[in-house]
Amino acid sequence: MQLDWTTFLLQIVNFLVLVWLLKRFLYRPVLDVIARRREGIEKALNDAREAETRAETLRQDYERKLAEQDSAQAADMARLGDELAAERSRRMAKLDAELAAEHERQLALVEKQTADAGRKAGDAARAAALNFVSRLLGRLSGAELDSRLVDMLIEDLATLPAKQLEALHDAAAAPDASLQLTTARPLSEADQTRLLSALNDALGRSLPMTKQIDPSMQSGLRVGIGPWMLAASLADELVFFRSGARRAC
Amino acid sequence: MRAEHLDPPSTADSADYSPRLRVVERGKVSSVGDGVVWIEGLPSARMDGIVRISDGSEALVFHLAADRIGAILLTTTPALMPGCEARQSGDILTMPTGDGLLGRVIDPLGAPLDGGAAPDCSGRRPIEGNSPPIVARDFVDRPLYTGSKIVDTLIPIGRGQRQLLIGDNGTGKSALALDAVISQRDQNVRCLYVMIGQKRSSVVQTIDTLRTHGALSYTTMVVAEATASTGLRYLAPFSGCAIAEDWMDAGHDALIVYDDLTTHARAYRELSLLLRRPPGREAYPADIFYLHARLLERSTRLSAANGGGSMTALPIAETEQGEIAAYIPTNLISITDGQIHFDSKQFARGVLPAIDITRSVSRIGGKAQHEAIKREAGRMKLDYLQFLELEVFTRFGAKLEASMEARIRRGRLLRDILAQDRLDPHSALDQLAWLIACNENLLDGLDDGALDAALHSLRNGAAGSGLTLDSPRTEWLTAVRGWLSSAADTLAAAGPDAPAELADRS
Repeated sequence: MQLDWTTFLLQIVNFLVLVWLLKRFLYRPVLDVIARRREGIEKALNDAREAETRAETLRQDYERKLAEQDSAQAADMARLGDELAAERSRRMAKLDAELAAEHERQLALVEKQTADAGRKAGDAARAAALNFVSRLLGRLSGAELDSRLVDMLIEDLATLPAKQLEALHDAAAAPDASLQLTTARPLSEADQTRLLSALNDALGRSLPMTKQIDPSMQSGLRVGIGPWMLAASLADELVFFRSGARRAC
Repeated sequence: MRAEHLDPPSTADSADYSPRLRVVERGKVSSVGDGVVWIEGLPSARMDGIVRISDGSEALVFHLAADRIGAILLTTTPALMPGCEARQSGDILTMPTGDGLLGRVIDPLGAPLDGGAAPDCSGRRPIEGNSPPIVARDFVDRPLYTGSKIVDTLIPIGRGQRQLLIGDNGTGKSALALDAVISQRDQNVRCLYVMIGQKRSSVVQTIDTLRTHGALSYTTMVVAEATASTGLRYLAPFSGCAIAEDWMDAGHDALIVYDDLTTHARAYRELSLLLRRPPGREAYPADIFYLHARLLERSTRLSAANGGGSMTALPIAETEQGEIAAYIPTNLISITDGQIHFDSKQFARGVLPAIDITRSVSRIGGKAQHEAIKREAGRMKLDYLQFLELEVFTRFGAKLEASMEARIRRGRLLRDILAQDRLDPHSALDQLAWLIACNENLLDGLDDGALDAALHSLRNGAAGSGLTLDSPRTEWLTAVRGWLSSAADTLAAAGPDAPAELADRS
């Protein structure tokens, strides 16, 4: 076998060219790819670590916020409880005040109703008494009672206070003064005489007397002198038992 | 000299009673005429005492002179003439009181005018009386609903308040008072309507109105019509007040309408001049202020210890040409706790009720309003007053900025909402419904037809909803939206003319 050095050298050159080409167009891109992949892996790992860090931070934030939320919720619950308790006590106080006011109101109304009932009972009793006395004395009234009432007038006339007597004197001293006698029925002559005599003595002068009959007086008499009237009649006395009302209901 | 009166004795007097001669005063009628009688004598007669005359007539002592007294004739007989004898009865004028008067029409002396039997009364009460002392009173803090949208939201009235209704003749004062009475149905308020010097046709119309609306069952009417004697016209408000005062003392809430106190003042002036009292300003007597002050001061709310009742007064005063600075109107304005002013110009423009909000005020304010209505009404009155001022600028055709335009639009909407027919009182629930709808802008942009439909729907909805004024606002708002939605549906079903705005709001 003959060694051709030229060929050998060319083969070597050829081999070297092949090696260069392989390194240039195959090995280096492969290395680049490997490097890029490594970088990618590194980046992914770094991202993962960062994400893990962020997640950890978030977790811690979440747990912190959760804790804060829990404490805030607890505080809110406590405040709500306090507010509820305050509102309840406020409403209870208000209710108590309303109940107390209503109780007071009802007591006042019951008291008023009781007083009204008492007053009405008194009025009714007075009306019944008035009715009873009016009918009884109406039945019993007559000339004898008239005479007794004339006696009463004559007796009391003598004991009238000075001021009243003075006023009667003044009325009797008027130029056109006269006596107006009103009776339930005609008086007897004797009673009329006694009455006129007593009046003349009390008034210090003799005055003319007109007579009038008013059966509504039931019994007794009224004597008018100017702006005054001397009343000694059954009807006038019975007025004392009448209620203050102007008309009966 | 002190004369004896034939007064009923106290219990002690009864125990010490003894029959004796009694010296009593005797008067003589010197002249009679124009519903008054002059009596000579009776030197110890007291004001407001009752004098009995021998013919059977009765008179109320009204004027005391040195040598004679002047009295208002309460009852007369044909036999009354000069020379008749007069005696003091010892009585004072009283009125029958009690629930037996509800549904009745009576005169100022308690006699029936409705053709019925004498009222079955539980008691009697003097027509003149002292007003409750301060310690017996309580704050006015409960609302009295009049049924008027304007009044119940912007000029609220409380139970125990005295609110004057003032305005020219024929501007709707009596209509509002009647609305207020009609609104008290199922409110546990007893009403008393006093008519002073009114035509018989007006009286009959008022009675018919109250009867038609079912309000007569809880109302008493005290009537002294124009043909009644001057004395009865003078006594009418005091008689009514005595009846309402009795209800108040029994722990009830009462509402009394005085229709009207201007006529009453004229009657008092007439009596005073007839009885030769010295005339003062506009020939009114010097105590004309006291006349109405002592009447209206009896309206109040009593404390719980005094039964907790109340008497709300709605006196009516008539002005001439809108002159509220006249003598009687200014007196009444200064006595009362606020006034509702009726404007004849507004009435002529067809703005009903013709209440002039700028001149109307309630000095009780929101204290007597329910919390929910107070919250919703809030600044509404102020906003409305500002709108009325702003609206003037629109007459010049001036270009206004957007915010002003919005306020004017809202003011006009509010004016449309507040429009109300007479004798058509609205419930408190209805008031709250429209207030919420208005405040939530649910009624903005609606034309007249749609607005009427919406308000009608709100009214019907509120009436049968089961909601109360104390229900949460969220519940109310949901319900209001629902009612407006149903109104929109109804309108949409009615035809193509139905406005689309309501449909968009549901």
